[in-house]
Amino acid sequence: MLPGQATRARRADERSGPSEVGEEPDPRFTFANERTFLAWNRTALGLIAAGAAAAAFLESGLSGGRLVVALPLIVLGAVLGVFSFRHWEANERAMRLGEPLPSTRMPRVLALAIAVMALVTAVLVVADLVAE
Amino acid sequence: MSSGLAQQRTSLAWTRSALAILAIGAALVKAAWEARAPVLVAASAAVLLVLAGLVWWAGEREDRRRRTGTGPAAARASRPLLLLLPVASVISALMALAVALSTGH
Repeated sequence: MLPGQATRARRADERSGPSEVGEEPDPRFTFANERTFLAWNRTALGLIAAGAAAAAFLESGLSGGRLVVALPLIVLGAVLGVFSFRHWEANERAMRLGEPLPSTRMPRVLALAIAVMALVTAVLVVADLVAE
Repeated sequence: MSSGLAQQRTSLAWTRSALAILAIGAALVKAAWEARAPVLVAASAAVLLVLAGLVWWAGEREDRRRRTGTGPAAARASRPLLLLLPVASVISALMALAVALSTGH
């Protein structure tokens, strides 16, 4: 197969979804993958809710202090929502082809982002208390 | 181990996702209310209520199809129904951005 044909075939495969390749895996693995997808997606929704709550209720004397916390959380939530679906697809494809599950850096990125946002929020709260 | 229990846990996970969207809706309505933005209050309530309803319906539909189907193929997830969730997340994020920008100062 020529390189162009291989790329077109891969794109067609991606459009059709992972259910068209390989063999049907054990239903328990299918369910586990779906629950993992749902858990990632709920994490995304949690970040969005946290961002909305920060925008509404965070007390900060600094101009734009609320948005400094709220916007990254909301954007990260949207990115994570999209990632969850891509990750489900990649896992489904790997399971159907009998390949190892793809690794992802997202847990590390998420942990780091939450730690940074917690630190920023703490600094804003303390700065507000000191200013009073 | 029965896949029936795995299916039940998956169905419950769908329900929790619908509840999470409802919770965001409640938070956004409250935040928009505090910001005295009546249009955003109505839009947040309507959009997130519809999204939560759609996600709950998708989960129920998947559960019903799987309970009545047989064989490993019956467990296969419906890609368009799963796609509903990232779409709901992005719409929720856009609504949250609108509320944040109207309240954040």
